[in-house]
Amino acid sequence: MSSQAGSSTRSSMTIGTRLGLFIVLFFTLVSVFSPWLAPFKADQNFQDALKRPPAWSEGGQAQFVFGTDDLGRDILSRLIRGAPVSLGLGLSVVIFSILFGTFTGLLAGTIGGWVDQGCSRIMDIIMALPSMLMAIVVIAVLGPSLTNTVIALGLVGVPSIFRIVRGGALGEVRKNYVIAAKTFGAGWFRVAFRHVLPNCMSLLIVQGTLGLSNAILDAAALGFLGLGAQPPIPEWGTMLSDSRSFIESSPWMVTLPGLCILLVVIGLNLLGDSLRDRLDPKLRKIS
Amino acid sequence: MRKSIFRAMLLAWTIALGQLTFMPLVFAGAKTLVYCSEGSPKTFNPQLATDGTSANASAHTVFNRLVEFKEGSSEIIPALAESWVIAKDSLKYTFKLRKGVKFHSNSFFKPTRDMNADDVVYSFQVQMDPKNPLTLKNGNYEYFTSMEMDKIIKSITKVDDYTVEFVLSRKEAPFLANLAMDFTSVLSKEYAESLLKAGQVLETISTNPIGTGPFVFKSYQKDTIIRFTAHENYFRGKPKIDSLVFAVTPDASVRYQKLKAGECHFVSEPAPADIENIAKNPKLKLMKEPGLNVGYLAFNTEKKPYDSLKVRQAIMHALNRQSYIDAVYLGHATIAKNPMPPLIWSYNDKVKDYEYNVEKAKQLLKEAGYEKGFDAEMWALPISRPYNPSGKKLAELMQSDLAKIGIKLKISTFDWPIHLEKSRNGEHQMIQAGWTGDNGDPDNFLNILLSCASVPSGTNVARWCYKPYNDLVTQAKQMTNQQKRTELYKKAQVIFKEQIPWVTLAHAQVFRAMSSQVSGYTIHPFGGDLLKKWILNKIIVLALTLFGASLISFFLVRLVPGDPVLNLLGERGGSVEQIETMKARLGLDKPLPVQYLSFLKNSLMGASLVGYSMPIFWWGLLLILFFSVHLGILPVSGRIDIVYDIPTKTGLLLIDTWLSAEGAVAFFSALKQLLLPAIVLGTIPLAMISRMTRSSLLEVLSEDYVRTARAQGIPERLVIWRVAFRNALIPIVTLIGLLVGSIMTGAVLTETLFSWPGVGLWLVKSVEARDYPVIQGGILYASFGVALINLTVDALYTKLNPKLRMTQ
Repeated sequence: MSSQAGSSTRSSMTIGTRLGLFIVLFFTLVSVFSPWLAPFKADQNFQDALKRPPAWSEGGQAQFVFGTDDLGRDILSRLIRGAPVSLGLGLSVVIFSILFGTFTGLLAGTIGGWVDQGCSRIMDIIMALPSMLMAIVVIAVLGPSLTNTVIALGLVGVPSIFRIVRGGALGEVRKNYVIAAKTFGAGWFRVAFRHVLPNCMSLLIVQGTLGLSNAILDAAALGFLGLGAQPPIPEWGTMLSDSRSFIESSPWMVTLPGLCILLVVIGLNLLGDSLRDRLDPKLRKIS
Repeated sequence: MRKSIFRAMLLAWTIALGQLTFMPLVFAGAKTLVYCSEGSPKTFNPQLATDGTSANASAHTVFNRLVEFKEGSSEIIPALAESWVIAKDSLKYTFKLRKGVKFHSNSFFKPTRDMNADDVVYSFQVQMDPKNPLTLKNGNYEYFTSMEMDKIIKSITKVDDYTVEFVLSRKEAPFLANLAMDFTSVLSKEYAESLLKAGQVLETISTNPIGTGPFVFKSYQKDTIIRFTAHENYFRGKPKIDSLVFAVTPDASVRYQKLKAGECHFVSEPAPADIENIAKNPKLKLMKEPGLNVGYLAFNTEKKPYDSLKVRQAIMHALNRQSYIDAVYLGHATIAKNPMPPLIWSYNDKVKDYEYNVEKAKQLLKEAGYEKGFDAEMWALPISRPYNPSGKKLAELMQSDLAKIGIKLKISTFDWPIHLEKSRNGEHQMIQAGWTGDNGDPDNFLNILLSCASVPSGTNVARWCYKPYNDLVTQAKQMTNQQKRTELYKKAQVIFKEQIPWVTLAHAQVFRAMSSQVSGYTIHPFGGDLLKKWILNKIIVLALTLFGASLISFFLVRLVPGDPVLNLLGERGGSVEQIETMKARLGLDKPLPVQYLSFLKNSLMGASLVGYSMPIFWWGLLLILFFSVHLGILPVSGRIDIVYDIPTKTGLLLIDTWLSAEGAVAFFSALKQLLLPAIVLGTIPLAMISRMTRSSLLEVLSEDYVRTARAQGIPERLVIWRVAFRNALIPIVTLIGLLVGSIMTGAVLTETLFSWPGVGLWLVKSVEARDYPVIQGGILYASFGVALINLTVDALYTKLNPKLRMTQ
């Protein structure tokens, strides 16, 4: 808490951070190189090898390291090819909400007045609607697909970003350097993006990382309800819920995608936490 | 329009022969049979029921018909009618009714007479004549009209108390079979009249049904439980069980877990994946029947290129149907070659099937002028049915098969109402469909699914109107000579196979699973102390194990020779100071017990991180597997043990149980049922709150006033609880406020998993059903709740934060 933590700020990282960084880097690399890493195509059926257990257990085949699913598809390949889908999905969701949230937040925070009132009330309304339900309704209207999942979850994530940016902006606009910039004739755009935004950046990054893990979990939940990615896209959440009736007879089909989600989300949370510890001015004071 | 949508809804029929009979189930010592049903009935009036679930809860339990299907076959046997005579011209049917058939009674109706011709005439007339005073004004007798009974029946008259005469307006071969269908169930006229006389709403007959069947309706709690008791004076003899309970359990894997845990004695439609395990499990019994169904892939023959026979044949040859049987149906089906299952008379076994042959398919495609293939779209069946357990998976397999002949397939899935609506309009190219027969007549498949007349009504999804075929099935419908009909239907099947408007996929077997210990089963009235002890023991053991494991892992690591610090510093080592700082940073300079405590603390934070990162449905399934199935100490799902029938006073079972006669035992049962859902739903909030508490407390502890308090020598315990915690509470309370809102409606997954009739589930269901008033009202309700909680949180702030108190 006191001196020891202080010494660890820049030079070295805690075990948690390292672990988080390692996990996230690992899955990022897997995503980027997935077409070369995966031994098979995601939708390639081996009709004579249905529900093969992983290679190390009895009845497994060396060819299918993590076994095959009920349609005879190699699970390892599906997991590898699912990595860019799940991570990309989370990333798109976060980018979507950051774009909208930042823009509206800056508008509201720097202009103030009725713009602030209007934006804030709209965000309050979105906030008041339970997020999962809101996403379900959006998808019911638009139809289930990857793009619509991104839109639905992105929309749900906008208010938290908005609040952070608006809060930060409200604090900054009253500061002298902003007033000085204004007196020198800086326009709204310059004030908002050159002066105010950089000061909210650290919080945005933290919220972004944590939002990423949330988005991955929520996408999996939508997949569970049959509203997420559509076949044959090997999204982890959909893989998990598609095979959940096999939880007893062929547990590996359920366990492996579940573990992948768990690992990625833990990694992102660890990373987000340590980022918060470093970047959040409030918390920086403590350490 | 409604009618045709409805006809299409019949595609959803699930139970083989539409029959699920509870009557013959025998329990040696047992008195209550629990059936885990797949959903809630929409009505208890079989005249209005359009789905198998409603029919099971009404037609097959509470009611009888003039004639009925013999169990497990399409043979027609006498029921309320003892015998019948069909006139030579086949236009007049005369039924002799059984004497001494008693109706049920309930708290506000006691029948004064036996079932007679009045009841039969009434049951048909209300459906035929919208002006009949006993017709339900809001009722939609869809089944009756969609079977064209209003056109077929010219008149129905009471000849004497025990004789009824039907006059038909045209020859209709399947008429007798129609009379065995659920919608012709006989209701009590006296009941309807007595309701009107008492000034009660007539709709009560659909919510509190009175029939002649083996079971008497007792009570229904929506989405939870339906209770029936045995009908003492049932005309086929009193059922062997005293009471029958339907525990509504929408999730197939949960149903199976409940069966294993002994919470259900009987389930229909176990998931195909579980069938192997059920068969292996000595505690369970699996019953298998060939299903009266067909699953198929229909081409929209009105659209290019599917209007070309060669293209259809090419696709037929390209699809490896045996692989679908293995992978999707898990082997519990046979390849279909005709549009109706072999069980139905006139099935033409001489029809030759198309073989799987990729080369031939390519050749045919070339002949049709699509050598390079084309882009195609297929609509997957959005729901799971025995004839197609997983439309999505089936579509994925077809996608890879079709890719081999150059057809690029796009798979689309719409939700059920939209799927029906769009397919009726013919917007599809290829579509997965299926049918479960509802009266065992070939007409029920060959005519309804493939005739010209069913193109506009939406059941002919191939939109295939082929005159030579259509003539045959229309002709056969108006004959009564079964031999001649057989000939015509056999010919029709040959034409179908030549033209292949569908790829016939499978006839699936239908399964029911039940507990084999049923005979010796007696439900423990809570099992009281025994269970409580059990839980306690298990929890203590669990806690001890965890503690032991953590101790061992901690000390073992430290007993292993080698200094972790030196290891960390690398081979070049470091100065003494460096080592000391490193030790201090890792906390290794503290005594072992202190190190252990901090290790515990860290692993607790780690555990909360894992909880926070867990996909909640996976977590729930794991918990059910462990606590309910493996250890068997907690119930799988539901709100209270079904032995307790608690009258609803407040709607909160935890309070109602204290007000009821059962008292504490029932209370504990309700509490026990709450445990798992609460843990699952609470995991993420628990993790979030603990993390928030940690960071908030850390922040406050660094404040000056905390330092002052410490300097004054106030004990650390007091510093933390009195000084710091109170101030740290503000962000925690905010978080709790936010979480309550999302928990309240966001618990959809938990509710689905544990069959908990909650707001979230209700809203998701209404989104699926496009029930706009419910969606609007529900969302408003949820938002109101959230706003209310935020208000409370704001009020709490002022209490908690002295600064805010001062400014006011």
